[in-house]
Amino acid sequence: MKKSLRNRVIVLILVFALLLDILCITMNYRNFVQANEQFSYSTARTVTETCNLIIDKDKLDVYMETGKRDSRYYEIWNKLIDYRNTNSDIIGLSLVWFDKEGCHYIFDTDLTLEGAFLKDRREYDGEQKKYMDSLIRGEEIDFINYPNYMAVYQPILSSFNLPIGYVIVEISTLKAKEKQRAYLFEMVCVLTLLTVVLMVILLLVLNRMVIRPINQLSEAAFNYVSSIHENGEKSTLEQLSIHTGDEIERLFIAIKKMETDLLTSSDNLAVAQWNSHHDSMTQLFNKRYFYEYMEGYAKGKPVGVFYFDVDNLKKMNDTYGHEAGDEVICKTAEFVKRYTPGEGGGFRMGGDEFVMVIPGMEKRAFYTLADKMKLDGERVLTPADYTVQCRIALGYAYSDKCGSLTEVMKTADENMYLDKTSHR
Amino acid sequence: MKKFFIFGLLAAILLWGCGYKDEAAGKKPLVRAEAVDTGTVLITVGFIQTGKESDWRDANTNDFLQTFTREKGYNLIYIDGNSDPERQVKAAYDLIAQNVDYIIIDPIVEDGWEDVFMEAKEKGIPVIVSDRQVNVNASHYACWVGSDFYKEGQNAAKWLEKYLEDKGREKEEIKIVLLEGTDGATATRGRTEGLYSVIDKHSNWKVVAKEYGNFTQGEGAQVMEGILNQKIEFDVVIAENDNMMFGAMNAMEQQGIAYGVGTDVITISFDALQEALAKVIKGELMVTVECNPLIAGLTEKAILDLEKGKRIEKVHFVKETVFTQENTVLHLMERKY
Repeated sequence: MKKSLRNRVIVLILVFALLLDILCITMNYRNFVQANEQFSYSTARTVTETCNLIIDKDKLDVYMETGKRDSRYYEIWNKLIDYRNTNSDIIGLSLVWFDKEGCHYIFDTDLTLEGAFLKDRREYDGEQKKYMDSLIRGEEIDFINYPNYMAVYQPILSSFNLPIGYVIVEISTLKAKEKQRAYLFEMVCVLTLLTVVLMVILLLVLNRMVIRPINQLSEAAFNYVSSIHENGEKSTLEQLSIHTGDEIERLFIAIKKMETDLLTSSDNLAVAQWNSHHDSMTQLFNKRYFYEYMEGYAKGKPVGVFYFDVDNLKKMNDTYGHEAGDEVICKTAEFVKRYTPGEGGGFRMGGDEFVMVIPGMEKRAFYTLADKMKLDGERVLTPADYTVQCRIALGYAYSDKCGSLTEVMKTADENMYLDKTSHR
Repeated sequence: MKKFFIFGLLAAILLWGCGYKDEAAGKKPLVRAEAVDTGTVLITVGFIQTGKESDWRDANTNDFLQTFTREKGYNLIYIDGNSDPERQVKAAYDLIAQNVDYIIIDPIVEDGWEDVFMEAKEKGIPVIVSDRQVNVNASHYACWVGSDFYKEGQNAAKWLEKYLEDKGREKEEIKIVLLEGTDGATATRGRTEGLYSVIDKHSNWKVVAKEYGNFTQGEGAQVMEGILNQKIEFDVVIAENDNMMFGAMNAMEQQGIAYGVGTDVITISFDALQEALAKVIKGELMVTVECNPLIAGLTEKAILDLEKGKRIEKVHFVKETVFTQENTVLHLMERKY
């Protein structure tokens, strides 16, 4: 197995979980950031609107023109500082108007040395420049985002609805960003942990439900091949028990059935094969197998061949019936079998004709065997009181270096005829 | 190849980081506006008050508003410090920026004035410090106008001395409870030192308890309650302002201790608030030493002298009275606050 299903499933789930994790985190984080921004914006907006309400708008023109302050000026100034102090995130609150030169201060709540006084001027910064025209005209603009803070602009209109300037609230986004970072970290930890746990559970379940039964099944199916040869007691497949109650169990049952079918049919096949090679009456090899045997025979080695024939078989059949004839044949087969050594083979070539082939036998041993057979009284197959006497006629031939089995066979056949005629 | 890629990436991050910082540095410098020409014959006076923390303060503020009027030739710019020292300093800079003629400051705290006073001096704007002290070299401001706290303390102790003499108790052992104001405050320091200048002369006077009450009624009551719970015996209660005395009176009432005229507890306090004077008439409070809020007159006098180019004294004390049951009714009739 080059690629295990388990590994592939792990990789797949890993990738999927990771994607899900990232997706969850990004979406969640984006929402959080947006909510934060919205919160900062609305906080700033509340302050700008309150300021807009308390400012004596028609007085602003006078301050802008003359640059002179009175007690009222400082009253407003004090109120603006108070509004600014309502929220620690607000880092700047000022009243300004814009012209081409930049931003001119009417009020500034910055109490440090960098704080502006009435009529002080500041040039446009990069972000403000983008809105320059709108700012000069006193139009509504969206907030401006800086790296550490957000500036919200609220236009101030005089009692004749003419634009005067802006209330600018600068609200720090540092705390929000810190919160965002903490949130992001927390979320990554929690979500990732959750995904990992889910992944592990999923893997365990998958392993238990699918992968393990499949592996067991495939192992058992592998072993089936050997079990069929050994013809063992019980196949591994039979020993295995899968009760998942699903497709896998069905697959298991199907494979099991396939195995039994296969085993049955291979039994049948063995019987058929045996039948095709053997003579059913004598259990010796038959003529068909003899030809197969001849084909597979290795030339150039010593071989000895016996040829047998039963005398008077036809007469026997006619006189005592076929059953007596069959008995004679069976006795002949037994005789052949008795003398067939392990390396040799006995064949019934048809009717009363038998052949024994002994390859690789030494010459001396062969002739000893032949002598023994010739003198064996069992060659006479019928009882003495029978009118028809049956005897096994035999002829043999031996070749040290056999060029053609047929040649040896032929010699043996001829010798057999000699034996037959000499006896008549 | 890979290394180049990583280097490139690092460089990009670095550049991006620098760019980010540049942007963060942000705001363009301010271009300061030119000083305004007031353009009138009026004398422009900027007055930076501490806030609106008490009746005394309100009387003080009203005194200034009524003294520096347009009719008398002044353009008074009144600034409420809102109990915020930072605002006071900033407002002082703002007054200098618009080139006012005089600056009057009632400082909330003594520290942090050096720079702004120097700047005023450079611009030739005289600064008059009122009521409380500042930790600044006296050469940096024109003068100081206000109450002589040391003398107030001394007056209170002298009254006790005389009172005991009249009662023939000058040889008796006298046990004193002292409720001090805020640690380090000008009034606290002055009054305590003034009191001790007399107390130390009498070996039979013993201060049996001395604690800070921060000039508030609530803490005055709390501190007094603690002293009573410790079962400390005493003949005299001195509170460094009327409000703490009111608190102490509440604490004593709750424990069933009688105080004032005709009892064993002599009550002495400072400020002479309207409510305190009422208690003096009733005899609950035996004496309250005035801390006069009407300093505007003295201040105006200093300004007029400066206008004429005269050399003026560095310190100007306001006239203050010791109110007892005998003289209070008379004074009450002609008092403005």
